Amino acid sequence: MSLAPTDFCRPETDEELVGLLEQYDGGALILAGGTFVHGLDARGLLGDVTALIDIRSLGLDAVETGADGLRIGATATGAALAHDPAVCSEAWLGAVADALAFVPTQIRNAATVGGCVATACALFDLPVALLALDGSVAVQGRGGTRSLALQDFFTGMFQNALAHGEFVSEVRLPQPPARTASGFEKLETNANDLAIVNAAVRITLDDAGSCVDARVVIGGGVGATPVRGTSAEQVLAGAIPDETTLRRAGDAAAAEVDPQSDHRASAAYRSKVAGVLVRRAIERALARLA
Amino acid sequence: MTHPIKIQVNGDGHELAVEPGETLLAVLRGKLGLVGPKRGCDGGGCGACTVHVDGKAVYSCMTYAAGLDGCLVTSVEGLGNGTLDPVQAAFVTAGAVQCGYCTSGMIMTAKQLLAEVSDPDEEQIRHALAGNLCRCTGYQKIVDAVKLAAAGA
Repeated sequence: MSLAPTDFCRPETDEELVGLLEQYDGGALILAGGTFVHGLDARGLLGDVTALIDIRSLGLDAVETGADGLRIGATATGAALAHDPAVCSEAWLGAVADALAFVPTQIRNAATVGGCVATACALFDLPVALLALDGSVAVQGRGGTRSLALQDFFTGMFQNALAHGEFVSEVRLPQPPARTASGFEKLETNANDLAIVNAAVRITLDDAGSCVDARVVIGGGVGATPVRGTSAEQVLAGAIPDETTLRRAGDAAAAEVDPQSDHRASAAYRSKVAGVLVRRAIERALARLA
Repeated sequence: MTHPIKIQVNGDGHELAVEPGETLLAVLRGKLGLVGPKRGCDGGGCGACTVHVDGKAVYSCMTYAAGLDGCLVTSVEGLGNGTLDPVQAAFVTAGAVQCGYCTSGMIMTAKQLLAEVSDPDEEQIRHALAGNLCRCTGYQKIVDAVKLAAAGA
């Protein structure tokens, strides 16, 4: 590792953290699990970093279920989230459980939800699930806390909407209507690889079994940020999600994405896989409503 | 600027001064002479460096030592209390070692699995070990060893 910070700080209050972010003036990297620091370093993104700031003493690790949904503290680990009773049992949180099951034990034990989101890597898994669940982030700074929809938070590859001196304190997932379920799927070369393509779907059915709402999100090399599969959503809206509808939704997603070609896969292959994964993610979600 | 930490490693307390970017793996191997955890990919991709921090398996190559003040660390050397741990013994019995480079990481990951699931099926074992690579591809005997350890536990 070429990263050679000169300071390591472990603030115990939010005020202390904000003070440190201001003090280092862009030269500070917040970490919690620290599992992607090497990934950022390898991409030459940490040249200006002189201080590592470990935020695990701020008490931001709670996972709480309320009437308004699920609130996930920024330093809750993937393992803590995976073991949360709601994530283990609620159909609408299925995509979160699916995404975390793809993560190797060692990463799940260390990596945090806030870190996974704030890194803003379009190839990560959990953010795709959180986007499908209409997630938002609580962003804290000197001026207080503001809430940002995740789709506005991700502004580019490794770029987010945090202003100088701000940090992510919480991820919030709104409680959806009854008869809502979600699912996530991923194609990877091995358990430790980033996604070739991944996809998450949240679907709400009415009593007659028709889709009244669908959110489709595709990630993993299909853009600088994960993208909404709006064409697939339109196919699903109002339809009975039978095999024909699912194939049409998958085909719509495949036609809509504009992926990149790289060492993991060609753009054409990614498009085809995106369609298959969207269909399978819907199937996963529907299985939870059966 | 070094950072002072107090950690327990395999039951022994240590007061160390570590660099801000120094990894737990570097501390274990370089400062404490514990070479059971291996430096493989050095980037969280192979699992050869797996140790436990506060009872949970982590990649020591991407764990910053400065953040571990007050933590309990267990490496493969900390197992067994003078004799072979049942998981180590099962790896010997099953012949689950070829070059041996992945072995300590495999054992530490298997230890966490067996602490959480006393009688895992093959799918659970393979899923739990998915973050550990064996470049000799001796996976079947590794899975057999974990089953054997579970059966004897």
